[in-house]
Amino acid sequence: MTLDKKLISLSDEELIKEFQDNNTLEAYEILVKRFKDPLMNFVYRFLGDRDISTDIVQDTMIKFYLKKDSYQSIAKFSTWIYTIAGNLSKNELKRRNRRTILSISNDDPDDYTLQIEDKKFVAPDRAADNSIKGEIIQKALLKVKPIYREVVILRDIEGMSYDEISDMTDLSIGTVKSRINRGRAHLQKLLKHIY
Amino acid sequence: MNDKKFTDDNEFNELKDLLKELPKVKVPDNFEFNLMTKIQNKSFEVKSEKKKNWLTWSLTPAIAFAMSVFLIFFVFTGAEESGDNPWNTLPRLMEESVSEVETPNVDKEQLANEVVKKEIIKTSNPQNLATSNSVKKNYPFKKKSSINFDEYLQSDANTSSEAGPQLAGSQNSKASPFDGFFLRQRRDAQKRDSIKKDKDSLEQMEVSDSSK
Repeated sequence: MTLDKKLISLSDEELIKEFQDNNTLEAYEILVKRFKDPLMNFVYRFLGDRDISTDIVQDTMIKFYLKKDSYQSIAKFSTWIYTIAGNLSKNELKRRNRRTILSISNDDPDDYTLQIEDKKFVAPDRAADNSIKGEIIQKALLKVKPIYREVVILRDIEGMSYDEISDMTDLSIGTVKSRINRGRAHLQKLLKHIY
Repeated sequence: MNDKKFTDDNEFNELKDLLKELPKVKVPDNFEFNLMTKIQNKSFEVKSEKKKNWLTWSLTPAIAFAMSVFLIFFVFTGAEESGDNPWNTLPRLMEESVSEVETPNVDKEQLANEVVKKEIIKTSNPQNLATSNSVKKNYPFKKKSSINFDEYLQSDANTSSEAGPQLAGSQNSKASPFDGFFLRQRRDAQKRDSIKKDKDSLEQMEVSDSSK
């Protein structure tokens, strides 16, 4: 118990250091708890499929477990793990494109449940309205090119800085900003009837 | 300038607010349990990469091309040459191959018939009799082991007592060099009649002379 309390107070980088040096499984579990939902949100907004996104987040965590030594303390842990998740998501997208599966719909009933759960303290009519709005935004996001979609999600949904996005995508800051602008412009065009 | 242009976030304020309002998607409740079970069981099959093997999609065109080349050069061309495959055919006699080289498109029987026809034409024409010896060379008999049947019958050896019929396998039997017949054209009937007439007239003249 005391070990867990002590570990919880550590930063991400300290936890990964602990996991690397002493193979402390509790440190790994704490990092999983911290990043599972943000990664799920990122991957889901990028791919638009809940089950596949869950699998990819799980694969990300397994890769993190297996290749913990490839992390170097010069980078932020969040950047490193988002990079893994982003690469796996892009691979999945490529595979889906090869198979010409173009099902970008979001008809999974679980998503409605999820969105209603998130808005459970809001009036039902407003929750339904938000749910529909969220679905429209998600569909519009999936129509944006993946190279623009990725950076827009990281910046505007995940709230990352340009530097972090630059590190994650291995692009210059100028290119990141340019892509974010292009993605936003395209998205705004698609969503102009909402606001 | 570029930085100022690209960092002008106010342009998309409404859009950004809209994106921030999006509900946060969470993993299922059993996510951690499944993950830790996998880790403890060491079943680390990464689903998103499990289809990766040596036969990747990028190699498929190259493999298809190599297979088609293999089929063209080894299967189809091999089927066309199967008649000459030394492993599938028996070895041929040298004589056969030599005769085919000399007379590649002529049947042996046809060749023999042609030779006989030429002989008949030449013997029927007296002018060609002189050249009959050269035609004889084309007979399908061995020159040394064949004889002229008429000459054989008229010869002295043939008229002697020893030349009578012999039983096959008898000890006294003389080994005959004869091993076959060949056709001989009979003389012309008109010529024979004229010779007979000449002979008769000579005999009559002799008879008349003797009577005188």
